[in-house]
Amino acid sequence: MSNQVLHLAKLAALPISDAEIEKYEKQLKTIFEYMDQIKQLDLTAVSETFRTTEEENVLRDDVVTASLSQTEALKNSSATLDGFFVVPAIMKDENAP
Amino acid sequence: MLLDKSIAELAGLLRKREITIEQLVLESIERCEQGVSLNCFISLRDKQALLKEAREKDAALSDDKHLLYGMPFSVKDSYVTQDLPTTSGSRVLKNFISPYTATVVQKLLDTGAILIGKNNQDSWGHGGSNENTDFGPVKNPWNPAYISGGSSGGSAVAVAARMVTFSIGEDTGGSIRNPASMCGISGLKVTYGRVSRYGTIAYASSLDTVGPLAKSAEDLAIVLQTIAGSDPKDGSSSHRPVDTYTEGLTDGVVGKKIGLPKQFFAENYNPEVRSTILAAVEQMKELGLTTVELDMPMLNYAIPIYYMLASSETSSNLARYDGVRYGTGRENFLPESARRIMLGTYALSAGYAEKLYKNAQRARTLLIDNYADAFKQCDFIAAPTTPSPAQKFGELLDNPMENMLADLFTATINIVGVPSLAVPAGFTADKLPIGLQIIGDKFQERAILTLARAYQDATTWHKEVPEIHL
Repeated sequence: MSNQVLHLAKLAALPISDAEIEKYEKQLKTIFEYMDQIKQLDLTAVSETFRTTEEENVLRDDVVTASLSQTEALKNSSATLDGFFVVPAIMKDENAP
Repeated sequence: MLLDKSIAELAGLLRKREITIEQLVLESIERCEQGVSLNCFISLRDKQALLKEAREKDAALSDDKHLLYGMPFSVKDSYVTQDLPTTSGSRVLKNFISPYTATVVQKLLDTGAILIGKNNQDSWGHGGSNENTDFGPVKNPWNPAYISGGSSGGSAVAVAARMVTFSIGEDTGGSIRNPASMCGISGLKVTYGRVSRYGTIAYASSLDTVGPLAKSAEDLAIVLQTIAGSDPKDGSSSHRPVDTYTEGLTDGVVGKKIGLPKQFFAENYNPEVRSTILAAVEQMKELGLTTVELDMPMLNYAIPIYYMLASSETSSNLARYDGVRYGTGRENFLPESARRIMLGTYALSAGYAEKLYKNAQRARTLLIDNYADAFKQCDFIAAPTTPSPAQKFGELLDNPMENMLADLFTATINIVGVPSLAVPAGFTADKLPIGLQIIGDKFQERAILTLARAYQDATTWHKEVPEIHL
């Protein structure tokens, strides 16, 4: 399962150390064994409940209302440039050394 | 001590000019300073600014002001506020200042209530011990060697130690009721949608609820009256009219029926908790209620269903913390949160979602059916709040199974969406509080508050105050 833990950490974008992999592997295995109790239930004819609110299709008029200014929206970011957020690069710069 | 009085008593004294808001706020500040080692606040407002606000409010006091006018209160650090940092108990949100304020906080500020500070919590609501926090564990005022419970542990301690008149917590699987119970105060988990979640840092969106912690059911009712109602900014908030919670709470409960699910009264948990809850049920019978035994077999599956759903939803909600728009990096999640995120990521991943996540949603339907059947036979369901009193520090930390089982009696309510409250019902031999849980059908907050009020009129557990040795 250690490969699976690494895969999960990658999917969840969680940096974890080698030492942690073994610990998480053991803990997640115990939890999933406990969760397996749900398998005892016959759920073939049962529909899912995704939410318990009674509200449906809550809509509002399509009009522009007050929202955050650009300054407010950017103020908590550690890196901004010309009024934009700076995000980590996902492609390589061919000209980079 | 002023802060030992009820909200109605304090409001009365203010209007008779026997006390001032400045005195009340000063006492609140002093109690916070005296109890600083309990570690229940992450941020506190500046003392001089608070006293200035208090004096201004004193000058503007008139009889027609809201009951909460001038009342010092606190909120869990899971509510965003424009003027104080919001961390959700995590380094991931270090230095984060929200550009807007949560609806629940704004509604309280609009009454003239005075926000003192923001409370420590298990980060992201992940935990029942308030040890999973980057701001140090919260100590139980009844014995600082013990946990406060969680995740709204800081809120519960601030009320129990009489630092504020009430606090706002957040309950996804027991996070208001669990610490309320362990600290000997009252806490209300509302029907899903009764109070707006706008501005609440999300843990699990289909389970998260906003509610008050206070010294009594009477005070809970006053706060609920203020914060309940639909909000255009939260599409899941209910459009049902808000009941009157503050009047007629002493109407009595004679002839009502309490259901006792046999799954909640088995002998598989702390015997002192069990005997205390059974004694509380006997006391409620003396108030004129009758009991009926219930069989709710799906209760045995509540924890697996809860953890499957809550982990899935939290893996999705916490994906937004990428360190780009706000916050620091994902390497700063504590192990309890990292584990829940990975668990949820697995349950939602291709090939497993049908078997794990969707089957949990199907099992949820069966649990809802169990509750619907139960409420055909009774008006209330009684239960313990936690399977044991507060534990010593370290017993739950990084112990995922024990952390999960702490939610045994509370998480089931969030899955179904019904309201439930915890009230003090006694103490262990070592003088640690034990809480009784009273559960109602959807939107029956008024009914459960009425029963809790009747129980508190007949008992004095809620009046016991911890002696804080500082």
